[in-house]
Amino acid sequence: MRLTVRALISHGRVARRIGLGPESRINMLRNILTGLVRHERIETTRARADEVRFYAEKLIDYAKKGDTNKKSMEMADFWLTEKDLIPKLFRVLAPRFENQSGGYTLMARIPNRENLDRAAMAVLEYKGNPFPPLFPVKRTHELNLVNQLLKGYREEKAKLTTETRDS
Amino acid sequence: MAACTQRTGALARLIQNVQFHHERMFSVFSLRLQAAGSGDKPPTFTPPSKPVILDKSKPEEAARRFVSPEFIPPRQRTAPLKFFLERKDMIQRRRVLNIPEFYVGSVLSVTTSDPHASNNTNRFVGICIQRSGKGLGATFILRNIIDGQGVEICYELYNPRMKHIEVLKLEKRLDDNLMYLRDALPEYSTFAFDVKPVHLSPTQEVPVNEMKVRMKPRPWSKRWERPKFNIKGIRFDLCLTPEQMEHAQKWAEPWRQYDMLKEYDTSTLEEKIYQEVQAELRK
Amino acid sequence: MASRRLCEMAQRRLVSSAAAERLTASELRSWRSSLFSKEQARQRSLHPRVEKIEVTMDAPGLQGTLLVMNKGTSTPYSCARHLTEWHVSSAALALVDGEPWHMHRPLTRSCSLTLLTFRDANPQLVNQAYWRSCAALLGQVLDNAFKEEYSVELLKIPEVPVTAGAFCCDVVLDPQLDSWTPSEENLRSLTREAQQLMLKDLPWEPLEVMPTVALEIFSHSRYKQEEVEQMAANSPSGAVSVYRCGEHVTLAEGPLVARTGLCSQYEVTALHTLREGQWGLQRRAQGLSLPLNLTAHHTVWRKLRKRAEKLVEIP
Repeated sequence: MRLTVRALISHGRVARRIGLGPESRINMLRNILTGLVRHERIETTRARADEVRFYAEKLIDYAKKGDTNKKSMEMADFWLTEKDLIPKLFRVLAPRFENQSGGYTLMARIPNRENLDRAAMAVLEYKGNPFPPLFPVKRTHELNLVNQLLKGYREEKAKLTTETRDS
Repeated sequence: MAACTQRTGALARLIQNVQFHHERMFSVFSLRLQAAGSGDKPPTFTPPSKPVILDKSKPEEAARRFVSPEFIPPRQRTAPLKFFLERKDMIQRRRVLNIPEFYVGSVLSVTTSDPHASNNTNRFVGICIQRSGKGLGATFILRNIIDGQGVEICYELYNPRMKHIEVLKLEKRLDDNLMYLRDALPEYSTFAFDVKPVHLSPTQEVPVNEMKVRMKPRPWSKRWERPKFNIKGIRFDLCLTPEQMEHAQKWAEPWRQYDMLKEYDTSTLEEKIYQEVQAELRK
Repeated sequence: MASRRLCEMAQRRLVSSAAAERLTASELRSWRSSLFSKEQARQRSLHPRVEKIEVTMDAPGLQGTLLVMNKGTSTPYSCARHLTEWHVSSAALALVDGEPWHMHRPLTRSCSLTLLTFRDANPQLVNQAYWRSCAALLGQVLDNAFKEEYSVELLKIPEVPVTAGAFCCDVVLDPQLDSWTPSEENLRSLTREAQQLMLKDLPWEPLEVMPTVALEIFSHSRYKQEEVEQMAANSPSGAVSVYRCGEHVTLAEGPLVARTGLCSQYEVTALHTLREGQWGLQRRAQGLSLPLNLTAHHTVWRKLRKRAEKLVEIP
């Protein structure tokens, strides 16, 4: 969200005003979310991506309750405008994030649109998708010298604490 | 049972051997045996206690769990510490003043201290039409009609002037806010001051009074037929035409129930606060 | 046989003690260094004709790079100079056909070459070489630190895993110093010496020599001679690797890193007294060091340093 006085003192406003009104906003987000579930990685303007991100995560939370749950079925039915995606949500996405609580999506800023409006753009994706990674894979530095020294330090400390506890 | 009451001293050992199926019976007997043995007097006749009949066919019901709504913090960015501290103060107040479980729609009698009244107390009876506020500033509104004049009093739950709150009739109504009683016929908000409280066992579910009220002719203080209020306790069929009801649906926001941003799920929070409050009150 | 050996020992001792009387420590250093230079020149003259070898680079981003180098002259360091400055400055050790190879040791055959840095995915080999080099540097500092009249005998550098927390250098000081206990100030001055060496950015020059040459280089120290014999017996080719840094010549079991400038944080943390050994009162100097671009935050450094003060037990 932009850092304006309006955002700073939010007075409970957590949603952006996008579209032509509350209904249009929800419908727009529905369409974007449907696209996200279908393609698992989409490109939209930054504000819309940020806005739909919350709903995308909540939808997974509902989907994890299973397709026998009435509320979660209603939610999936409402948010996925293309009904062939409902099985995908419950059979593919929900099991994928079974061991995870929150943080199912990833958003990355990309350069502004080359269009006339030069809108700030972003990429939104569900984690664990089959596409090449957005960011280079993080290297592990466990074996470098400092970390090896710290590992030895921690091991010694743990040994000392167990010894003092035993004695 | 009669045999048990005769020779108390000799039976004390025997009782331990006898396998009691009924734990409550056992506790009653042992208490009485202790009382009789301590006196060192010839045992006087004590009438046998009334047998307690327990229906074993039904599973034992747990007492209903209730967290007063002012304990649940509102959804906002205020630091949780503020609500924690307020909860502590509320619990301290509850140790002194018994604030019973009640709902919107229950009939209450409230006694407050009033320096201007005779004998310094003031009692008011009415139906609770709204509970609002969170934390120490929580309030509820009682409504009654006295001498044909509607009276509403807003009480603060944790006000130090509050002396006694008694639930005359514990029940719920179809709605969570009964402000529409202002526009309803006066018979629905008239309550006598000298009613005896109706007892409801603590294991029983709170009954829901499914009464629908009839309204005074329009205009009302608010357009209660609008979907925003979601009112079920009004007989709209008597005062509004189907066309008018249809017209009110123009303000319905059917997407609202699917907007996850508006959800505020307090179930886990409620459970946590319930445990906390119970632990504090038990101290 | 035994008697002959005894005789030899006695003779050597006589020789060494006589030599020690003749030469002061600085003279000894320059003498060793000159012998080292002589041997180095001799080995270089073995390749009078320029012969070409093909070196294939094997590192991420460098696959398929083929360098044509000179046999017996080119080193992994000169290969790195054909690549980028980053390779020159950050390569600490080379891997020639899977065998650890010092950066300044000449290549003798066509091979595949990998340059190792401290920030690799698996830098354990480099870490071990770094720990060894830091210990060698500590030995050099101790050798240099005392006045001319006190003799310093460096013992074999023990191989310590990195996780032990500190590198060690065993040393036997002059018998006059047996009652001396180093103060904080002394350790700090040792640290300063080491840091000056690091600032000079001296390379470690490697040389594979036959035991006879090594015995000649270390002819003034009876302990070193025994160590040379031991190393020669252990190594399959019978050769001994000798390293020179500045004027200090030392023995090492494995390859060291390229230069002293690769150390960034360096501190001598303790000088423990071990026991009375064959050669005198043994002491163990310990230190902690971190390489360039891997420096630790001062809070982390303080923790590691505190741990490095404890005596490292070597089984």
